[in-house]
Amino acid sequence: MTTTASEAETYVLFELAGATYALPSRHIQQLEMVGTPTPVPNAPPFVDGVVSLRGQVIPAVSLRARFGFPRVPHDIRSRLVIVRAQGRTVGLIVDSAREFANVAPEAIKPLPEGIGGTSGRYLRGIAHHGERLLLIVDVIELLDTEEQPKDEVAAQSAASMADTQ
Amino acid sequence: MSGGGAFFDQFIEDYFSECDEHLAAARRVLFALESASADALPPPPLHDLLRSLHTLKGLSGMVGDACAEQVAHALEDALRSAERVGVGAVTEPEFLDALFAGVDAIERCVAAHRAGDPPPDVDALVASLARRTVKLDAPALHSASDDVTVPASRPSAGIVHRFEFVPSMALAARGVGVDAVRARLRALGTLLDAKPRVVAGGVAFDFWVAVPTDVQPDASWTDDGLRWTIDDTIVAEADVVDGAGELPSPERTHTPPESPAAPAGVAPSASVVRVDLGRLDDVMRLVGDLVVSRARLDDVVREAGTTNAGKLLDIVAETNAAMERQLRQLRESVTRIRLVQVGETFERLRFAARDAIRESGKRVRLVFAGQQTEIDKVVVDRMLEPLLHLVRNAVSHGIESADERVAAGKPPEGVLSLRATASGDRIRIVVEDDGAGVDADAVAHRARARGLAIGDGPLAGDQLLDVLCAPGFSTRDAADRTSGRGVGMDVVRAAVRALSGTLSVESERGRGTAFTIELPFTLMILDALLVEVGGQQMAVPQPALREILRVDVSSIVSFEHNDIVRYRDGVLPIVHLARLFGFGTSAAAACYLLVVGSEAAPIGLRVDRLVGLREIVVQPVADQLVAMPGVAGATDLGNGRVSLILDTPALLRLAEEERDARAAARLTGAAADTRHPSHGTPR
Repeated sequence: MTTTASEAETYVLFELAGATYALPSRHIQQLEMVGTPTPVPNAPPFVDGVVSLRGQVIPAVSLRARFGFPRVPHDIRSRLVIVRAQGRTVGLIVDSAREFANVAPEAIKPLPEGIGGTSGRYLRGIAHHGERLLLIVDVIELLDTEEQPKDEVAAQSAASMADTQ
Repeated sequence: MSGGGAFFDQFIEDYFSECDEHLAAARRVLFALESASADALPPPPLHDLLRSLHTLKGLSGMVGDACAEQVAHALEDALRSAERVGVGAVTEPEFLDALFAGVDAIERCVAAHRAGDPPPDVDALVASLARRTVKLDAPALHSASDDVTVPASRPSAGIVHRFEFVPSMALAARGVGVDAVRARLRALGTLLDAKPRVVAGGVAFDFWVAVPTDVQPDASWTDDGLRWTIDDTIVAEADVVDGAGELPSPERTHTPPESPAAPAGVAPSASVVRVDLGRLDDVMRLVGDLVVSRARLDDVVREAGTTNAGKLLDIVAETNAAMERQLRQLRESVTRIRLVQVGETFERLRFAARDAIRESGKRVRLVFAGQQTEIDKVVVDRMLEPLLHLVRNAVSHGIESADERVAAGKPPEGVLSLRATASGDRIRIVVEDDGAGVDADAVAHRARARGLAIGDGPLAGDQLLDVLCAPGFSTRDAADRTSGRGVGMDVVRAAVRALSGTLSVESERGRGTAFTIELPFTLMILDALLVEVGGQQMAVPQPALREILRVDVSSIVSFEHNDIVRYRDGVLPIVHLARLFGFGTSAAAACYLLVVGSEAAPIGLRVDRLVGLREIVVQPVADQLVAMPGVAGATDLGNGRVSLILDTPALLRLAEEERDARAAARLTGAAADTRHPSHGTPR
């Protein structure tokens, strides 16, 4: 599952709150069952806690919370997508993740005007894949903790704003 | 009788580590003998084995480990008499088995002595060894302690005298002790060897000294408890290094007598320092403390930065940076001291595998690779049991009998390979057999029968491992002895996880099975108290704890922003951890207070429940998303769930900030509760 000769990049597709997202597979280390993250006091609100992965303790991020969607209980389809980028390893909790897709760079279009808010920051573009729309996730931006609204009130209001969009 | 007391205390720890070395050496020779016998090659020389046994006997006698002494003695006698009969008698398989059993028994005796357990029953073994001995050479039984390993002929440096010194209180009062005697003998000639020996009522020391032909021992020495004879069984070597035969003595660490005929391939002992692991742990702890101090300095620097401290600040910042660098180097070099080669562990596995192979009646060849790979002694010691289990499993369940193998078109002899490789900061150990492989269908069938939740697809990889590691799961109904009843794969995986490692399996039907263990090559381990806070298990490093109190919640007084409780002559401020962390608070009537902080200003950390003391492996919590003040790291308690390790000094600072913020919020009339949001707790 690496980049093919035609420069199309392989993506791992995952579902979140009814939409399909795509992560470049070169950033994906593995997919795991979610398990039970251990909460970490004072961690950002979108961090469910830490999990142990091959002897390494890594954060488990609720991508729903990160994107401003309400949390839902994990079920058998929930997955922890282990992402590696910039020397960091982070787990992303998603509703499900089962598919791969090849997407050519030119198929990725910029986000239409008006899609912004919390989740818009973490998207690199949008692509058609058969009948479906894929939201291409920007991993670097996603893991970035800088420029985050520091206090809870701001974060929560940002989240509720995203909900209403 | 002198020779006991302080001497013993100093000696006992060295005894154990030295026994380990000699047992390892003895095993090496036995394996060499065995393979020589199998391949009809000339056997290796026996003097190293004899020397090891002789030393084991002497050492064991010194510390009163009668069981080990007895077995070593019997082994030595049996070996000597067999040697006199001829080489063929030594490599006879039945005789080799007796030797293996004997070395195994010594190991068990030493282990029991070390653990303070009653010694194992070795009477039958000793009797059977004695039968072999008496049959061949009865007098050797009692003269064994007079023998010393006979080195091959070497250039002569004089006549070898054997001196015997029996220390006594009276002699000690005159200043004649072991050290004085040794010094005197050194002046006389070249000290070849020295050994302690148990005699009726105490200890005697034997020295072998090459005395130049024109010199005679001073007759007056007999008054000082020395007796000597000319030992013409030994021809002295000209270039023996003086001091090679140091005795254990109270003021210095005992160096084992070094055989001048040390076989090639044995690491030169001169470059090896034997260090008590406890001392190294102390150094590691000290380094940990230094790291904390530096972090505090870091805080001071940052705080000073907000005031106008100018040039002074630059100097402090520079010092701080230098200190950080030095600490890192110190930690690295201490880590290097703790590294040992994994080959030593492989040899012990070979020993265990041999038993399993014999018991199973199968033909198995052991292949090692990467013995030079270095790994933290703490890690490898804790990996021994799980590896033993994998090796025994491979022999008893993995590799087929010779007939089955031939029928399957394989060579009759199975291959069990142990490989170690290092990659980055991880070590990988693979235990692979070329046996029948795991019958995934049978495993799946059994798993379903036992009500384990598995999917419909074929079992492989991690899912297969999950089933194999389910508590009590075994693919055979009757677990035979060698597969280690009660120690299942679940224990193997728990042990690996507890070391921050991972276990994986690959198996192909008919081709074999490979278990891969990946471990960090070094670890930081500490004693911690496990507690429960708001339903979460957390670990508090034990050194941080001053005292633990159990108090009724009703006795806690709250005023303004403080909880306090009566403590000694005054009050103890309380930090309610569940509240500080934003976890749910317990409704129990009683709670526990962990008293931490300084003697002058103790603080009680309120927790819901005590779980117990545990030795835990510290894993860093480094990612910026979760590296929060108050969290020193995390540990996997072996159940796959992570527990946080609390950083008490940081917690106290955090609590103080919290209190200040709440006080400020109250003053300004703002809602104090903005600092108590739900903390991303799942669901």
